[in-house]
Amino acid sequence: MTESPAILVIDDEPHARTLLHGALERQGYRCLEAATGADGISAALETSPSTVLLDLGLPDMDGLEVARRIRERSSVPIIVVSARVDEADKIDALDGGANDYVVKPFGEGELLARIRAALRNGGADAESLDSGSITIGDLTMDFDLRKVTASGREVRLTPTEYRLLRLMVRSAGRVLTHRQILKAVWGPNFTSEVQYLRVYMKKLRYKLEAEPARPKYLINEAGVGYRLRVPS
Amino acid sequence: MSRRLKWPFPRGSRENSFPATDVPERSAYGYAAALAVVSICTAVSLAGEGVLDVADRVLLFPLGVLLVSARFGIGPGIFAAVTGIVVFDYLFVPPTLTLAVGSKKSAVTLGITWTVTMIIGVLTDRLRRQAERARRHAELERLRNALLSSMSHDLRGPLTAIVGASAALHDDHLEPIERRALSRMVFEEAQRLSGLVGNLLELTRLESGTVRVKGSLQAIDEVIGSALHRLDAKLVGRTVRTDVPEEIPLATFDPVLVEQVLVNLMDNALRYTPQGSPIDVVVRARDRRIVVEIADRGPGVPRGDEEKVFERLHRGERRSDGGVGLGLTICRAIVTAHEGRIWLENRSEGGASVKFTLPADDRAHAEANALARGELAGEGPLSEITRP
Repeated sequence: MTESPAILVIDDEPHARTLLHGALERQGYRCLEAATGADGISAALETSPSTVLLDLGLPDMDGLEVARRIRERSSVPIIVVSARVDEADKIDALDGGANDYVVKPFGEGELLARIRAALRNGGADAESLDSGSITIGDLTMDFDLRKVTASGREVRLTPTEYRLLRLMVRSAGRVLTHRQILKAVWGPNFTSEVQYLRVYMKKLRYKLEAEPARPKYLINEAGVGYRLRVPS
Repeated sequence: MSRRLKWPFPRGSRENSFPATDVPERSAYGYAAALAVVSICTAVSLAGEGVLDVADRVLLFPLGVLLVSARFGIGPGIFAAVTGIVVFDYLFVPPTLTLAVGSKKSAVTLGITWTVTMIIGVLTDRLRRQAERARRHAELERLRNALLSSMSHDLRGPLTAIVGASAALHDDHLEPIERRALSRMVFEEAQRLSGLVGNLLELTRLESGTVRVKGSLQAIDEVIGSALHRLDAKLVGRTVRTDVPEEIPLATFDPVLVEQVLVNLMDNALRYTPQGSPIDVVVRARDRRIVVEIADRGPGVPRGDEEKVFERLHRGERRSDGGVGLGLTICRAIVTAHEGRIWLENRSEGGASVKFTLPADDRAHAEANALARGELAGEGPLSEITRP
């Protein structure tokens, strides 16, 4: 039997750690704890956890710095868990190496869904997936036939729409910043052309979603980016 | 587009933090009054010929300018000073009935009088502004205190419940059903507190002046989607119908602030309407604007209150839970900062409908669409994206 995944919680508030500890163990994860940025970095590098939950407001150093230092030497998924709500903070965290962002106070279910997404995407294979097919809810993407179906009906996509959807599917469950998406789909010279992204996302929503203004899959994270939600 | 949000609350002593009210100095009324005052001074001077000394008569004009500046500000003040001096020169400085100045002495008198008059005008205007500022500041301070006391009352409510219920949970002899009820109470009150704190933080953010309207090209359906997503937990058991046609053009706005508007409006709709009643979100394009409507099937608002609900601290009578009436005030501040309009209507079939407008950008929308169509026409292999 394989060992259950270990989740490292870096948070200076004992209460927050206790609560997360309980929630994680109930779900069958092992929970490691660190109360400072420095301890967190060494724990992340030495104990090789499956995922790191990182609070940004740490006493000894900025959480963003912690994320950067961990990312320099490890590809472990980092989920920032913070009370900071500013979009700029989120973008900094995500562009700085964090894989996802959850705002405090959060629902337990939401956090666990993000952890599952992080663990699923942890393997680098998902990121470069280009054969076979993936089904998420009632969306199916067949990479071999280059075919997309939504609720059983085939959807015709333009090449750019297809590449955009492929990127979102490969990163299913986690938020991608506008910059990350533009760079991956349009190229490094187009990282500020957010309006293109918006138009294409809108087209995808109207092609794939039953109710485009209330999407099930292609979720907008205001001011930050997009996430392909995996229905639980 | 990057403009500072005009926030209707005091923000320390910064001058521009005050709401723009009717600034009197720019009104035509002030200039008319200046003319009237100069005419009166002239009339008195003429009437006093023989009784009053020239020196007395010349002093009437600075007095007039002082009055005009004090009441109407610097513009009409200077206007009064200039016309006054011209009239005085024309009527009283020899050679009279010409604008010429006969002697050096007269020129000096005229010059000094004019300078003094101008200085008086400027100083009076400064005093007037200070008095005005002090008055407004006092009023805003009063509002802020009312807001704070109301807020602290609202925060104490849920806190008291949480402290009480969690203390009661320590009792080992509780029946399971009591225990569940108490823990449910802790959870619900904590949620309520969380909402209040969220609103307070938003207020502080807006008030601190660090929030700027960061307008960019946005798809409104996307922002409606993320607002609905944020409200997911509260929307359980509710029908929300969205009607956003694909051809609605992109609009220029700040997505984070507009999402806040949508969340506040939907939150209000949820709060004031019976469980299970539907909420409609409708977007239409009209005259280079988009109109967003959030409509409910609740009791509506009392006739005559349609405008009042947007005012600070207004709270509907039916409101039973916590929260000062800040939601709609925040909405109005945000929509106004986008040069949009927000208003409330009672629906003829029952229920309230709040609508707001945002500037649409047809040109950019057409461009982006053309780009996508161009790609569609040239569809074939996974070619690199073309871009104009």
